[in-house]
Amino acid sequence: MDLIVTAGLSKRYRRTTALRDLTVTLPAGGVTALVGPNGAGKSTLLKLCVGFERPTAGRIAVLGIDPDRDRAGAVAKVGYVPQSPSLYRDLNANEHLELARSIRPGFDAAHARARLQVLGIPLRARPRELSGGQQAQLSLAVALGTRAALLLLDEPLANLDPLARREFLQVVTDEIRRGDASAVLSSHVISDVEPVCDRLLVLGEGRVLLHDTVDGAIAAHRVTERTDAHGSSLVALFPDRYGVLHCLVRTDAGDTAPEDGRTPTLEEVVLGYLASARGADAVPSSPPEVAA
Amino acid sequence: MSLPRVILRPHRPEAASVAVMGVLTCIVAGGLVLRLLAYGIPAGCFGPAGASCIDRQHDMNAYFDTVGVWGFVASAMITVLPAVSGVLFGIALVGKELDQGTTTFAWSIAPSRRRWLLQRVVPIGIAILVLGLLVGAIADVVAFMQEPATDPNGSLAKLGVRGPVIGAETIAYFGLALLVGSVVGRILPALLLAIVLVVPAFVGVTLLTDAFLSHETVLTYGVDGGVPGRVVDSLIESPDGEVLTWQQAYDRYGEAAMESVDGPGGTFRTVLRINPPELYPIAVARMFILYSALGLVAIVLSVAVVDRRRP
Repeated sequence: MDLIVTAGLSKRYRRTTALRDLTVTLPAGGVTALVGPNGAGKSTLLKLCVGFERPTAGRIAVLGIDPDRDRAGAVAKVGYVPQSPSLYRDLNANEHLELARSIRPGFDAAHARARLQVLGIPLRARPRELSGGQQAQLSLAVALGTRAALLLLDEPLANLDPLARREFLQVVTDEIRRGDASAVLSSHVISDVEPVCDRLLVLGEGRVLLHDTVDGAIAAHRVTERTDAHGSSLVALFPDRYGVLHCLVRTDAGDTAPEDGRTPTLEEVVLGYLASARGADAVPSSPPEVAA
Repeated sequence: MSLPRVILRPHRPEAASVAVMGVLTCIVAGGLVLRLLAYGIPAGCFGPAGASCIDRQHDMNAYFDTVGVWGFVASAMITVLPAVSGVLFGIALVGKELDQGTTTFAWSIAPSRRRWLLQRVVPIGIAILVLGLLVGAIADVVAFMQEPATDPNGSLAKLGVRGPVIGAETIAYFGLALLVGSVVGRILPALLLAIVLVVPAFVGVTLLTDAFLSHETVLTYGVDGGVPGRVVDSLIESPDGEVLTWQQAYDRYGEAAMESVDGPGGTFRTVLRINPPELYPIAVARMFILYSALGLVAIVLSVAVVDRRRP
């Protein structure tokens, strides 16, 4: 069964539109990286999956369940880690697990406790006594304790140091590789999630810019230094970290596909699509320096 | 580790505040009762036979001085405690969790938000109901000590600020605060709004009770203070048995009527419209039901709000 299926999904807040007519199907298995800049609609999509938000238009199904109509059914199938750990400051780690057990039928406190013990997180410590990374690990342990078929991880790495990020991702990949669970991991930093993700869903301004496997996304593109590329093969011009413009093109675009260029990194693919969403704004107004 | 402990622990500040206030109320009210008992004045001295207790006049003056000062303090604390405990816990259960973001944690795990909410509302609701009933019982004792010459139950004195009504009152304020907290989702605005709503709730139930009581009266001869029951109105009976207001009697019979009321050989008699003493348990039950219904309706609405809102 597919993890998440959306059809014409839109979410509008008072003055902003977070998602626009989003139609996408995420198949089960592995880790899907949900990538996009701030405001792309990543968190909104995950909140819609867990029933924290209601769609303005369109439909969404999580493991076959519409969270808008059957939120309890959807929540029972997902483990959610929010952007910032929303832990009880007066409860220690063990008490969080006990609380979870009291409100979630079938919660596997022993499994969650074991994860914390492996990481050396003291069970008697309260959130204020834990580092940011340990708080994120506690949130993840609770999500893993749900034994849910789908983990929704909403930018859990945003406030973590590199070591904590690595540890967090290690736990996620261990869990996914070991069991039948799948995960959707959102981030606006592609380098964070690249080592662990199998699929890629790039959102920009509430729309799907790219959805493919990681290998497929890389294989389907080339980076050229010719900034005069055009036609249906052109995705976008994008600047690298030095401001040098590169051109991302699709290799599967028929007669306009270029033959030169090199294999892009995943980050370059994402940058190219994000630049395409921004259109002309992504290209510096000053004459570009063409890479040698 | 017990579940109630895990549930109550995040609300320790509220529990501590209510516990401190409850203990202080018990100390003040209990101290007042003990102090008044220590005067050792026989009950008969407060009644019509009080004239025979002339040797205890000094103690009786001291007794009423103590009632005047500490009785007021104890009554004020007893009146405030149910509102404070109901509002504090009502805001804490949902409003505070929304404000602190912990509902994101809880609601992402709990398939049933109703179960999550009821798991908290039921034990805390029962705890503050018991506290309210205890305070109500203390308030009953204080009321009897404050008015030793009359039976406060019979005169329906301090109706609604003593006895089991206080337990129901606590549930009503708890429900209102729970609802406000669920809707507002911020501690301070919800707290202020809940405090504002407590006043019309109290006034509304009191007015409704008075409206019921005003239709449940009987007529009796006598003067205010000389008959059992709660005096609603003082009227006058004409020689031909017609019951009139004092103004009607004056307009119809002139000043002569006023001078011969209840006098020797007088033909006009004072008639009192009273709520009979037997009405007390009914009035208390009615207030209890009104407050409880208000609280339960607010709790049900809170469940509906929690079920629909975003964390």
